[in-house]
Amino acid sequence: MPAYKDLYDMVKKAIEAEMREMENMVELMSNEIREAVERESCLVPLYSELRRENELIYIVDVPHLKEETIYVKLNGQNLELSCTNSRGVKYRLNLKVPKELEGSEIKVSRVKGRITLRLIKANTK
Amino acid sequence: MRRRLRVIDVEEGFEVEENYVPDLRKPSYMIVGIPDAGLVGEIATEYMISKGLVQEYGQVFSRKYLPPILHVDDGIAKSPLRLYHGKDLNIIVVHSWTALPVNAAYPLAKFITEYAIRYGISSVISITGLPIPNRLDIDKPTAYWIANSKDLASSLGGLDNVQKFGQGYISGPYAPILYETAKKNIGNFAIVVESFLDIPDPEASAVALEIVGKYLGFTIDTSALLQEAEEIRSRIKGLMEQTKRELPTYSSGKPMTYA
Repeated sequence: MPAYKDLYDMVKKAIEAEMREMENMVELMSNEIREAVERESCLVPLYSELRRENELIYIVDVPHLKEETIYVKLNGQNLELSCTNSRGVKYRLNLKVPKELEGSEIKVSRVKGRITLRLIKANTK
Repeated sequence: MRRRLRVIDVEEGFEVEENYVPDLRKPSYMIVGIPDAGLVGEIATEYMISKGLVQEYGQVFSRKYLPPILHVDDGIAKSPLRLYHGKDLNIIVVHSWTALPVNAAYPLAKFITEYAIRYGISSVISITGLPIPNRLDIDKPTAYWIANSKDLASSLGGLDNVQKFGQGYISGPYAPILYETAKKNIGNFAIVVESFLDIPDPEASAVALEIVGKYLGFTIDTSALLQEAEEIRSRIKGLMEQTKRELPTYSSGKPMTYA
């Protein structure tokens, strides 16, 4: 606890610290609310899953896709895909991949208007 | 003038309302489009409807077997299971705008058979998908036929753009139609096209329509279907989701048709 010569300074600093904490909390909550609203406003695309010996393939159907908006991330077992179509509709797909595919390489391609996510087991590359 | 008639007895649970009685010459055909694998049949018959090849003349109600869903068309609530007549093509189309629950499969097959008898239909043509894992790698999906009798199989053997589905299984709404029609000596064959299982597949529907056209002796221009494929996939996303929920109940998790 720092020392203060003036009681006013001490109270002021304490209040300012509380306010900073409150502001951080508000910002954190706002971000979470914004992300949740964004998630809710996204469509979940249709997808098909195909398991092969050493790979897992997801075929995702996003009509009128804007290819440059495709975002794919594999975080542990959580695979996240988001993209937007030419009409501004946002799509988001969250999938849980098997443990053995954790950290595997993802090959993303677009075939016949569908997105293909190919996850190949690390030791078979 | 709208008239209401019962096609089969009340125990069967179906009721038909028709605006007029379609006039059909011999031989006449009935095409069935019900949502299942890849919505191949549904997209095919919907395309015929949207292009004006067939006109709506009736609807089928069932408190017992159809879900409590009405299809709203141009502001009018209607049964999702409807009847269309192609005067020039000499066909009747049975089209469902919603996925049908598994408990409707056998009663609906009986209903379709009875209705086909009522109108003196020569053959019932079903259109469905054959889910294959490498569908994405195939440019033009292969089509097969499954017949309900040896005589019909012989006549289909001559078609050059469709192969016999040698050995395998068919489940889902089209399987009991093959059985029920066979019992009543009505020809029925299913056109089965390689497709996705749970993603709408308009390209497979286009292949099926080309075969239907060749079999019945007319040309169906499917170029618009291929051009509008993305629009169709976008529009019927909800129907595919609904159908996807029904699919496992038909065959305990197995594909609708598999070799």
